[in-house]
Amino acid sequence: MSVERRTFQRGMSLIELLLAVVLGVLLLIGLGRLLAYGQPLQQSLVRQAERQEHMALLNHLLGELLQGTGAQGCLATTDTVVNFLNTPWSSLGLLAPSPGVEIVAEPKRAPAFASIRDLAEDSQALVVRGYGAPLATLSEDLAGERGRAKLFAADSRIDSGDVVMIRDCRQASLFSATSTRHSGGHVRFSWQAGEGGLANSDSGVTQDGTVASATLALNEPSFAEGAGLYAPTSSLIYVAESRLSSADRPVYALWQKTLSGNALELVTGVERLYLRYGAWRADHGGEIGYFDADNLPLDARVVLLAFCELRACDERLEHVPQKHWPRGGRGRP
Amino acid sequence: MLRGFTLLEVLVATLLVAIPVAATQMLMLRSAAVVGVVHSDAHARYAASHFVARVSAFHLGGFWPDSAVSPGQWLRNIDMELSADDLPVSPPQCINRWCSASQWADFESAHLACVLNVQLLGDFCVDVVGIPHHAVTDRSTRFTAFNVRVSAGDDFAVAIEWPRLEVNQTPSGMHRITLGTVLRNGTP
Repeated sequence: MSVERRTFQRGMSLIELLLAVVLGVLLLIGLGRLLAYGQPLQQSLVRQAERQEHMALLNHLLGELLQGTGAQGCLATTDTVVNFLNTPWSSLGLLAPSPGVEIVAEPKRAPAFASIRDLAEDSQALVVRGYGAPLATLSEDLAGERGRAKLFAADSRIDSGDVVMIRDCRQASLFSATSTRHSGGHVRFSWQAGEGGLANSDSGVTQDGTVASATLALNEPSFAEGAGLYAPTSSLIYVAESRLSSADRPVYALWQKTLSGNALELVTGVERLYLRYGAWRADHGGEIGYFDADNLPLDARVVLLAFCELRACDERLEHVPQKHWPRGGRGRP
Repeated sequence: MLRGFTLLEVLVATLLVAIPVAATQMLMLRSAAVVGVVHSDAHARYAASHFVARVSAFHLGGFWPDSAVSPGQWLRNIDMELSADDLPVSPPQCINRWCSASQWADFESAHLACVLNVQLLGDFCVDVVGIPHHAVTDRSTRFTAFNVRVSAGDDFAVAIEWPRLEVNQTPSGMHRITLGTVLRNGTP
């Protein structure tokens, strides 16, 4: 005989069910808020880190660039810089050592930016000129038409046709090195005259028109042992369309173009650049002013460069693939 | 017979789950507050270092006569106190015109206030900062209240204070950063 065992199952009452649902919803709301706080927090941290990284990069880059501007060193003046190239001072462009820092209010109209496409509207630009890269030190007095110099570093080179500045604390000269020969950490060079625009002329001239009469120098004695040879370090800093830009989503970026190198995209998302000179003059016990590119008085001594970059809203960049800087040093274009 | 959970069991279980959830939520809120403080701290340090860089450029770049700067002393005009509640109504304009050292010091203090609080850009800082009105600005970090103290004498120090906000956004005391050398009496 089999005994049938019955199982009684009792469900939850409506009150119990409602309570469970309410408690569950409350927990879900709590968890939702948790997630809602977490995501913006993380995005905010990432943005902050990116901005700091960009600012650190710009601080380093601009500091290095500005240190080499003009680069008359102990000479500290452009009055005794002689141009021995066939190109007149007014046409030297980025090969001129001065003005060291020049704000360009409308880069689209400036000859220096003629080759650059997709410049941003309403954005200013910066031209930094100088001979800040040390190449070699004269190892014997300059004489005749040949010189010998000890290279500054193992990878330093002065090739034929390179425009270099030679300077000491009295004078400086721009010339094109010719017939260069490297051996044992030294370089031999000459400065024969030629026909091309960047070849040497028979005589040099200063910016105010004084003609040089000495050996590759304005005054005798010419350059002696210890004088330095320097390479140009001029650059253009401007805002133009990013490589990540597309027709339906234009993106702008801060760019740098060196004298002989390719353009390098520095910071993606920069839409405009505003620059101003911070200047000083000795009148009335010392006066200070901040001047736009077109308003800098002739007697002003520029001591500061105010650099203001305006970035696109972060939301606009969210759907643009981000570029990342390679670790371990600054790339050379 | 299978018996379901009793209401008491459900309540206890819910409570046990809710405690860590609430704790984690508090942790996240506190983290958000800490991030806010870090943002504010970074912004204040940026504003202070920006101010120091501008002052230093003119202090070191100008050949000041002894009447303006004594040897070994900082430009005395920049010794000042500033509060968000006490901003200059119409600071001197030093953009595209020359200013005396004292006018420039007032201009710089107004500029520092604008860096600390870009919210003021519309009605106070357009002329001071001197960038176009339509310029997009970063409004994520701003100080609605702040105190600034700049000491310039033998030493040079900038101190910036702003309200410390609790998790529930109520102020409790002040955060403070100092850049430069603290003066001998300890109050930059």
